[in-house]
Amino acid sequence: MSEPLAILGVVGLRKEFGPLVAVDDVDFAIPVGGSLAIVGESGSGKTTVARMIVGLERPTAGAIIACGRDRSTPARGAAERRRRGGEVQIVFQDPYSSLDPRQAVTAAIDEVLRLHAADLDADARRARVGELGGLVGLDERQMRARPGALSGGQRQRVAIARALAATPRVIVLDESVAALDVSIQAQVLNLLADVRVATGVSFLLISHDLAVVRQLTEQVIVMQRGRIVERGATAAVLDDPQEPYTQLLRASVPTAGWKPRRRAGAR
Amino acid sequence: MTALLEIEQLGVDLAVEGAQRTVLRDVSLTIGAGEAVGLVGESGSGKSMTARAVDRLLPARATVRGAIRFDGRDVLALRGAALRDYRGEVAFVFQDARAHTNPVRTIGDFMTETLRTQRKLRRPEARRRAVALLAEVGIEDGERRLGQHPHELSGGMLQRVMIATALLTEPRLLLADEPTTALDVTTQAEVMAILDDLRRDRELALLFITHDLELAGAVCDRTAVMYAGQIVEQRASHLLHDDPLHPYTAGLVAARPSISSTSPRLAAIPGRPLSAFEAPEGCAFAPRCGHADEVCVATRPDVATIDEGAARCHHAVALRGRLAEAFRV
Repeated sequence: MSEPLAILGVVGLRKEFGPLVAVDDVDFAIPVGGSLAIVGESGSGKTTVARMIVGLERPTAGAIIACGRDRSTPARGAAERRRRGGEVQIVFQDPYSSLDPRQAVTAAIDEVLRLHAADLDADARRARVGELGGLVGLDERQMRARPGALSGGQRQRVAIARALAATPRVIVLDESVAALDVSIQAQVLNLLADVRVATGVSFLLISHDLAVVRQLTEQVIVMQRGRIVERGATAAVLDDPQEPYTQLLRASVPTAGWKPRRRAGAR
Repeated sequence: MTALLEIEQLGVDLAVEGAQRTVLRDVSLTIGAGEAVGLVGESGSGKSMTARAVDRLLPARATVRGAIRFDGRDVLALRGAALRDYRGEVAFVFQDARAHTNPVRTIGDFMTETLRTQRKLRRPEARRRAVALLAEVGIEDGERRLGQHPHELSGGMLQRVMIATALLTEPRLLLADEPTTALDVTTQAEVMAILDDLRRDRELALLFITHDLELAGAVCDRTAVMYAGQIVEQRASHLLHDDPLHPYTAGLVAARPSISSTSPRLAAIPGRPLSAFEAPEGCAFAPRCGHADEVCVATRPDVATIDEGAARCHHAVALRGRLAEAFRV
């Protein structure tokens, strides 16, 4: 089978929680090596889309195709689950709760290698752990530390290294830089750009931060109340938003000279 | 403009893991009546601690040096009823509105408690005032809201309730600690607009704490930038972006991705933000600064006044005009 054009695609994706429709008829495709952002506010359904893609929620309807294979129903058995893990990884928002506090960084990365690079022996794994640590900019002392001894930015580097250990084709970044200080966020954004160049991995970025979206992606979809309201090239959508909701989002971002305005008929 | 709040050489040590650790060092800041001042910094820079010190909300066993005066009164000496009255004049709005409300009490109970218990107002009058203020923050059906519980309100709605509550005692200074950080961006714009309107209508002084330079600039005449427990720069907000005086400010501006242009890489500041107690002997920013030399490593810089602004940097005068450029890639 030839390489599929899209490394990750969803078609007619829908998720209901009881009477609430969280995600309604969402379609998109990320080309190999591409980077796509889903933008929206709380309740837009963007995180639910991410959770369905990595198998944390089961879609009510629709298809999710990663690396040419459907993953819209739960994996049957460990081998299938592992294969899916090797295709798509996720980095969560909160670096304080997404790592095991009792596990040193090297062990956390090694654990992923045991699962996803079973052909490597102990020495090769040790070398690979060091390589991944170097790629995300963690020094030897930090690699031996437990998460409690690391700062938020350092922990997020660990989470990225751990995701990369599975050599995924796609990394889902669910607000992965939102909790970081400005100076650290810039470092992690640069790191993600470098990782993409070095490994050819694709990104699905879930974010409310339009500036971060511009920095990291080429394509964007804007979601509101579960539906896609606008899509296109990131620069084009941000420079010249067409839909009223996108225009409101864009106008709400504080930039130099920005003045907050009351909305007419706001809730 | 007469000074309403004067913070002079404020230093704070807190008990952390059994040792007294410095979190604030030589913080001096003045806010005039009706003036809005932004306090910007990254985590651990001491911006929240400064506001808490002003409202006397520091944890027990904190050691405080320096002086805080409000309208001529010595804030650090206030006790009992005088402290309660002071807190009516200096109100606080916190970041996490939900954590600062009691989930089992109604909005009405929460809003009118101070008026009833301290100002001895009768319940109907207290409720009438609460409803009037809710209308001012854009909540029209105040009477119904008073009967609701916090979980029935959205985050943006609850933060507006918090702002209305803070204003019930008719304060002269509002300390707002990241009041919109937990909100969606469109809600943030709305809440900021309300805060800005109220402040102007009531000639209320504002200390607005945020990590977002641009957000501070939108509502504040003047912005102070904090790093490692010190104020490193004070400047008219509209000048911070293009004519910063301190390398750290220039670095913060450059590190933030832009919404209107794409660049392959950001000018990241190396290293991580330090707390005051971790800061080295000389300039606290020296280890991360591209302009640092032996002087910066050896001696702690004093505040240099430049063009109505001030910077805590040995080389502020020499670097003037080159900082914004140097970080641009």
